[in-house]
Amino acid sequence: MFFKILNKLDKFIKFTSVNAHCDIPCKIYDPMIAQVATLTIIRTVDLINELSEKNDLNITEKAQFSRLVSQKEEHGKKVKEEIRVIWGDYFKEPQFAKFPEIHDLTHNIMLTASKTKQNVNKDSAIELLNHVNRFAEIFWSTKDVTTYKAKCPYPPSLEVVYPDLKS
Amino acid sequence: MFNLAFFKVEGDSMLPKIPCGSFVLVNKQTCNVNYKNNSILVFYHQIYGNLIKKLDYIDKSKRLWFSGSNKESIARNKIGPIQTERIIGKAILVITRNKIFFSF
Repeated sequence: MFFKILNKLDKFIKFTSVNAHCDIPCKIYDPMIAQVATLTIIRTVDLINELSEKNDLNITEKAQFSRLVSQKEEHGKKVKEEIRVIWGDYFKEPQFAKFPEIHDLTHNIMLTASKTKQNVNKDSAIELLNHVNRFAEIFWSTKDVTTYKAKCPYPPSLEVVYPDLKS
Repeated sequence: MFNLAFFKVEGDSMLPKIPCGSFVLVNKQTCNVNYKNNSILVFYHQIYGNLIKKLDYIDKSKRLWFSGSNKESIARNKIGPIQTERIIGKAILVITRNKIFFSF
């Protein structure tokens, strides 16, 4: 009865809510999102560099430049977010024990992703891809899934680590 | 001595004791209060906002560490240490759909 009274009162005066917050264990983790975001960063760097070779940009090219910079920024954030979630939520003590390098690797991904956001520098972007590929290798190893490297079938056509799910 | 307020609980991390949708009566008097382990406290968290959790222990730096009542709750190390200034109050009465009980 007391509950019913409070429930009715809540509809009018809206009690402050407190969260008994849970992490929903959906168990869906995949480093591919971070890998594709990294490839996008490399591609945008290439396109920005192509534009920079022109002396004068017309209005369409200026708009394109603006979009490219914004996309590079957005995908840098995406890489950091995706890696952070896998490292923070998926990796647990057994995986940490097996792959102690994961902490330094994750930290390096954060730093390198920031570097790619701050600059238009292909070397940093490639370095980020190497880190993220290594992260993907480790991730799939923890699931006993073998991996292979292959050039992605679209620009920037660089080597990416893929899970061999048929093996 | 008492500064009471009702709060509504959202989420399942305090199950089975406090189901989502329950109400808690909170004593917002926080000065000179010695919190005991296993007390249910309401506090402000910089990322998660207002939280209700069980007090696990107080460390040497007088910071409070919390966890939920079931395994799906965000982990203690993810909540991190909470300074006493962030404590909103202590739950003293819990009103669920089926029962009412005091919390000490």
